[in-house]
Amino acid sequence: MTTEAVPVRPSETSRRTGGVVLAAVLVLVGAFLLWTAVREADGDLGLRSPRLAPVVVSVAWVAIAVAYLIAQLRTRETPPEEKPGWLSPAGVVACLVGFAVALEYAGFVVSAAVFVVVVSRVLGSRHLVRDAVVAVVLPTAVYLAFTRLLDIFLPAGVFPL
Amino acid sequence: MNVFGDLLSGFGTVLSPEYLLYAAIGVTLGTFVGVLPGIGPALTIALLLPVTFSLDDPIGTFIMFAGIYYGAMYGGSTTSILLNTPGESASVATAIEGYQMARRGRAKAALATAAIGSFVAGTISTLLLSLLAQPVARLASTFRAADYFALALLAMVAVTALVGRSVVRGLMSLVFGLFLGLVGIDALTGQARFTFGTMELLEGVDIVVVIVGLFAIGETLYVASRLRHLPEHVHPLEPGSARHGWLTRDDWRRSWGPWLRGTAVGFPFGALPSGGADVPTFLSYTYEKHRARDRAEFGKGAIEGVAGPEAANNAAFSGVLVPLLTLGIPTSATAAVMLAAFQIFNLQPGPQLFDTSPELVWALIASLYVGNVLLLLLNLPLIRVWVKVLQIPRPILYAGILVFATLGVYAATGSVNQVFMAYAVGVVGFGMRHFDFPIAPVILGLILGPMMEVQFRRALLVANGDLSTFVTRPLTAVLLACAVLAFVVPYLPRIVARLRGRDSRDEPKKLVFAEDD
Repeated sequence: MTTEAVPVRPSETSRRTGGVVLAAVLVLVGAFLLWTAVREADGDLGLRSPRLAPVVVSVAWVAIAVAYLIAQLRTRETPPEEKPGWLSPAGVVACLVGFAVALEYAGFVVSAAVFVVVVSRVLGSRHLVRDAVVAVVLPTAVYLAFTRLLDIFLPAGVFPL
Repeated sequence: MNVFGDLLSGFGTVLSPEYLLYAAIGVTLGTFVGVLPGIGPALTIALLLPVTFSLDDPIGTFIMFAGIYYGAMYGGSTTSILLNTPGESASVATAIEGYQMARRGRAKAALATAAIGSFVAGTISTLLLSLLAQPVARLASTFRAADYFALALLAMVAVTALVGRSVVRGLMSLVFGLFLGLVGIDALTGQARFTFGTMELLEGVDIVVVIVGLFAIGETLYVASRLRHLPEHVHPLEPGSARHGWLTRDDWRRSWGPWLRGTAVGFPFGALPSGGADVPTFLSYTYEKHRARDRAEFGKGAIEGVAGPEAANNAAFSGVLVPLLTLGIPTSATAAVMLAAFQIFNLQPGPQLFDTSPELVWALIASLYVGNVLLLLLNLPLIRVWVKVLQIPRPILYAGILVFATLGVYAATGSVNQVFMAYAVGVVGFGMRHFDFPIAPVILGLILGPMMEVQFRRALLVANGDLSTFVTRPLTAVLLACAVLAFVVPYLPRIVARLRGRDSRDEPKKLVFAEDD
């Protein structure tokens, strides 16, 4: 039997560290919630009081988060098959935020059209013309269907319809 | 009036041209969205909720929902078979054998056994639902607050313990859902809780916001993080006319048994609080594998492995409607979304529903039969259309899902702040997927938590603050005992092994019924 140390792959350590950090964050968030719940309760913790449930739930949160932290420290997670990229999700979130901000100013059709083109690009599309066609047709059709057929309000914005 | 009279009047309502149109729109929309990779029935319903906002006819809307509900399932099995991307854990078993069948050039047979199996199971289980609904509702009218508390607890615990790989992670998800449910104004006293001094949080966290955030935004972000590792290849259907190449005589012979057994497993598991369709589909798969004459064929495309789980899946979905309609208790994420849909129309499912709006309940049940027939007519002949849907380029598909998710939240709440909230929940959902936390307990915690708290306080009010009210009533005590038991079940093989003196490390640490949501 060899006693050689198995070289730890970078993704493995990062995943385990990730789990420990997550667990620690969960414990801290739970502690904050518990503090909030206890402060809001102000000593009123009768069985029928509305202040009891928040305390119970945050105590459970802390307890489970601690259990998760211990589990993360003790076991070695199976390494993920592939390394996930962080750039694309961050890009998608940025696009979403831009979309939501523009929604009420530029209107649904324009903001959705720009959003579709940009986010498809972030998600790996390399067909600008195809994306542009979809970006014009889809939001316009959805806008017309929702506002005309279903009577649901959507911000019109700069689009004169 | 007896059940058949009620049901007949339900059919009388549904079979009018207007409602048939609603049913047809429902199954088409449901199948269309359900076919899209990575989208399960819960998200399908949540995304399509806004479509119904302006309809002021609850019966028409629920007929449409029944169609969407079934359509999403049929669509999901198509995706599992042709693309090997199950949209929810209940189709994981179908994907295993179905995709292998497609690879061996038997895609049409797999699709046919799934569709016909779903039809058989759906019809039988809807029949059981019609027979059971009223007696259970009558029984449920004797339930007291303490029983409802215990039931809600059992439903939550069962999903957490039975679904997913780790109980600790499941519990963490559940507690997160319970926390989200607490945010806002307390229903009984009007006091603000966990609002952190903001006005926006006073109204609480909208269920639509959470579902769209967790399922649509979270899923898209997760896909974005592993763009290069997705199955892109859709298995082509074998050529041939629409009439030929479906099921051979041998396929029929091998399918009908699993269909019926799948139904027999699926319906009771759906009707009991046990996490919906996940457990019965895996049980059916394991059972069919166990009794198959040629066990080696499993894993390489055995038709029994598609027929059984698909039937179980569909039967469980009708089963889930039993506690939902008669008790108002959702036992799966999809049922929780259905409950949210009911609440939009100010309808509270429960024993009273059968008294206050019997025409709605029976029309809904009748529409399940109609929806099943429509789906069988729609699904197989139009299979080439659904394959086209599967071939929508991924970037466009996910861009479209994000637009619809944003639109759905905006239409539901009319506020950009809520849209941002959904995005934030989406980021949390992405993290949950990345770290392998199950999603379903969050939804159930959010829906059942507040319900449970209200019933707890009501029970104490009746009992004058005496906690023993939860153990002195036999029904309550049994339900609470079941909740405790649900935590033990996944570890049974290990415990048994240890009792027999074997090394328990050989046994799997926890029974796993489902991979993930």
